[in-house]
Amino acid sequence: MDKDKLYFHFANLGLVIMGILSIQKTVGPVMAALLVLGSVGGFLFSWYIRNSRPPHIDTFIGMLSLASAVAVLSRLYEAEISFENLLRIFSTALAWLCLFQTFGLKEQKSYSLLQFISAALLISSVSLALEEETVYILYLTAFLFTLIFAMRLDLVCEKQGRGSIIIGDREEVMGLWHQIKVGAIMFSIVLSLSAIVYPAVPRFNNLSLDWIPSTLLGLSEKNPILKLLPSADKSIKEDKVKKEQKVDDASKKRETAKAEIKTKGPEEKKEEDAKENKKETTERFKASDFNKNIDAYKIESLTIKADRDKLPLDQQASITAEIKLTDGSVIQATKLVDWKVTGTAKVSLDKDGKLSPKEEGTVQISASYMGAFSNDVKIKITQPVTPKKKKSFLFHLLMLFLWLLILALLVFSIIIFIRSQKLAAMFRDNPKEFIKEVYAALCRALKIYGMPKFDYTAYREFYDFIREFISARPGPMQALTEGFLEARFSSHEISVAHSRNALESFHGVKDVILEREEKNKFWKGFLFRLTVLDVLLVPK
Amino acid sequence: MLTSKGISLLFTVIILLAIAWNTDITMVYIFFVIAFVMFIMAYFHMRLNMPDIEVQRVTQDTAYEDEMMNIKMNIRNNISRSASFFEIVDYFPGAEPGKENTSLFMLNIRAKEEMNFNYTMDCYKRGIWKIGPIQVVSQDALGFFRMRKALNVVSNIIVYPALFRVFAFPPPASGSVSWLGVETAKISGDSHEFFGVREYQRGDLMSRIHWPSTARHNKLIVKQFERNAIQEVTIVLDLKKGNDIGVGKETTLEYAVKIAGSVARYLMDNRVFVQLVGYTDEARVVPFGRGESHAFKILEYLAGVRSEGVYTLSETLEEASFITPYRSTLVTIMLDNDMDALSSLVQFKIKGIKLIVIALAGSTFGHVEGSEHLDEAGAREFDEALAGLEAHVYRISKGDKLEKIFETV
Repeated sequence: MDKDKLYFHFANLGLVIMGILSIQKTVGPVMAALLVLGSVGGFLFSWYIRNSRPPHIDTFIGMLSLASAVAVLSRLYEAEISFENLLRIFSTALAWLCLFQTFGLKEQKSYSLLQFISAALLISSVSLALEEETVYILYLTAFLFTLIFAMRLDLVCEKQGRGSIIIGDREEVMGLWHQIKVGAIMFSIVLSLSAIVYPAVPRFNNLSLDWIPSTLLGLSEKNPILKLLPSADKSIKEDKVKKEQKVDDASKKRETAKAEIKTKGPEEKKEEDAKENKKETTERFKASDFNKNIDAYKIESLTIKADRDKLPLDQQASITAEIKLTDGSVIQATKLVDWKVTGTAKVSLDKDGKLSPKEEGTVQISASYMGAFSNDVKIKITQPVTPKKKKSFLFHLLMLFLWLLILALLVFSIIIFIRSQKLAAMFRDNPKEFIKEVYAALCRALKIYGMPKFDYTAYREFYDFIREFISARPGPMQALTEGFLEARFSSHEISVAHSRNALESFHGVKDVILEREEKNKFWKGFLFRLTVLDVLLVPK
Repeated sequence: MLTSKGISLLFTVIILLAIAWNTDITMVYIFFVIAFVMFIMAYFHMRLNMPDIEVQRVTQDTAYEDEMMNIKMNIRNNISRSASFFEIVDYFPGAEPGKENTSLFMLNIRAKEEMNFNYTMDCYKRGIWKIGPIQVVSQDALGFFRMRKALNVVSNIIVYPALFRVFAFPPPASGSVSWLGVETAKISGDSHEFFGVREYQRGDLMSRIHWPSTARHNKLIVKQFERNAIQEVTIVLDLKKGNDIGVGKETTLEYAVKIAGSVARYLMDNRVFVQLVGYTDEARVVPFGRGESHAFKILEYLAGVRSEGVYTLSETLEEASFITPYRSTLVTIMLDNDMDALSSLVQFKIKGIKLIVIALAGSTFGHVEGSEHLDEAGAREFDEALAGLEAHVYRISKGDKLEKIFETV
């Protein structure tokens, strides 16, 4: 695989990881870590089998994919259709796709699907987590940059895949730094132009398009996907209600406004009715005091204020009333006014204007004083806020360990990959060094089985030493030792055929060792494989 | 103009705008703006990236079937800005089906730069072809848009049929006696070129007795002289429309062309005069000749033949009988069910023309509407007729190794 394809491959892995990172708040850090591991594992697996297709791999992949689809769909049956669940499904699909990238690694055809899902994850998670915009802007910029980088490479790789002859200085044009430079230029142009264009983007507010029924714009207000957004209170409909409310406040035609709001479409009515399942009640609280000095004819306005618009059940809100007289003076009238509380929640209001909620719901408070009516104040009574459970030190330690593990795995994969590439190049260009490296790797790996090769041990002596260990089939080790001695000491030319023989002998020795029956076979076998992974990745 | 990626981006832009308008979320607006700017930028970049290039193609004039054709291309960027990531698509109709277009992906060409490079194309099928025109495909840096421009750069090439080596072929008839022959035939005759000596036979002229040899051997020995004669072979091809059975390169015509070319070359190498006859809507004849230039005339003829004729082989043979000399040889390449052609060959036998028939087993090449394969009785009748002609017969089926068939006589 050439450099362009390699960069392209890892750029796409970067996109996938960024997509998964963006949803870690939704799926949880453990799941995110697993997804990242799954994706990296998938890419490595597909890398491993890129040149050879193990027998029955297609059947195996097909069955696993089918099983995953069944599992995901069966969970969907009972799952609530929420944005969080959609993100989970998307991310699971992404991890599965990465795991079975073998479908397209050779031709690089299925990356676009991965890119699409990653972008979808990023965009939807941003919609969910508006309060953390800065982090998501960083994700977005990193994603955009990598996407530009990947797409440029995709063009070249696609042409190569279709048998195009590439003309031009590849080292110069397709070099990593040149690619990064061009990507960065394009990225900055896109961002600068976006910054210029952004203020001119038509919005409903500044274009006053809110009178257009959203269905005319192709958006059904009933569209469940759009309603899934938790920030749906920023929708067109809510916007309309707020505006109408503002108009009512300005003109103080409280009753009329209420009537207007109630004359909204049947759909909205139903929605509001659903919200107001509880019966709306009205309570009145009489004034506790009277000021005979206030002339009713000199009252210009009566204003009430609440110190909060959301009130948890275990707290109190303070409501104050002020009377403005025609001479401009303002009189505190909290104790003087008659209070009227309409709503779905029961509350009590004391003489100092302290509002104590008794149940969940919404209340609308107004006041009156000698024929003057105040504005309305809406207060939402919510459940008491319980402090978030602090996560234990162990949890953070575990998370740290997991991330360190992922990082280590990534570094290990990159090192192994680079080494295997070097070995593959040596296989062709420098067979002498290749044979030496293969032999050295095997000697390192044999330490796991308690058979180190010391500097003072001669090569044939070492073979005699391990002969009993590989007694099932000592032939390959003998061939490898002899091949190594030839490469190490002979002056004649060592060809690719020698490399091939050495590699075959190496695989033969590996098979003999791994077929042995002994204690701790699994761990030793695993460590052995890891130690010689770079050699194992060299195509035969 | 929009690629599949471009369509996806367009959909993304629309969906993002819809979500942004419905939710009024700032970040979604930002996403929308970025996607929109990328879309617009990609379009303008594609327009700007369309290079104004001058292309020159240098290629060989002739090639043989199955050979690689080397093409040199010269590209000059006429504008004062560089162009990158564009594609040059060269078209060669004689290439393997599905590989007619050769794509050259240009990574970069600087302002006013001139580039030279080589590439190869496979000459899959014989023919007289035109290479080109060239298509320049420009795209933006991310592949959302694509635009094509055609450049009328055309080169001509003749792809000769692939020939095989003929090791042996029946010797042609001894030739007509003619002083027009530029060479003597290597057979005994009455020219002034000494050929050899032999024992006297009844009827030999007394003047031919070589007295010194007679004295030495104590018996009558006569001198022999070479005969002045030329050997002429006429090769007849069946070019009737519909008589070309099979697909691709495995058709009866392709086999016939290959055999005709190879046999002609073998005969000319043996100093035989060869003429080629085939009728399409008019007579297409390469008259007798030999030598290298004549060999290329024949190859050129064979490169261009198509079975588009209205004349049957029988009619072609009727016409050919006028231009086939006495005591020459006629090689007919025909289908093994053409009884009419076989009947037409009788007149050649009467004229003393040696007949060589190369019969292609049409049934092995496939079935063509309108042509019927002979049943067992018909085949027997065909064989009997062929035997009656006392012709030398080669039978060839699809997939036969031609070189092996022409290994021995």
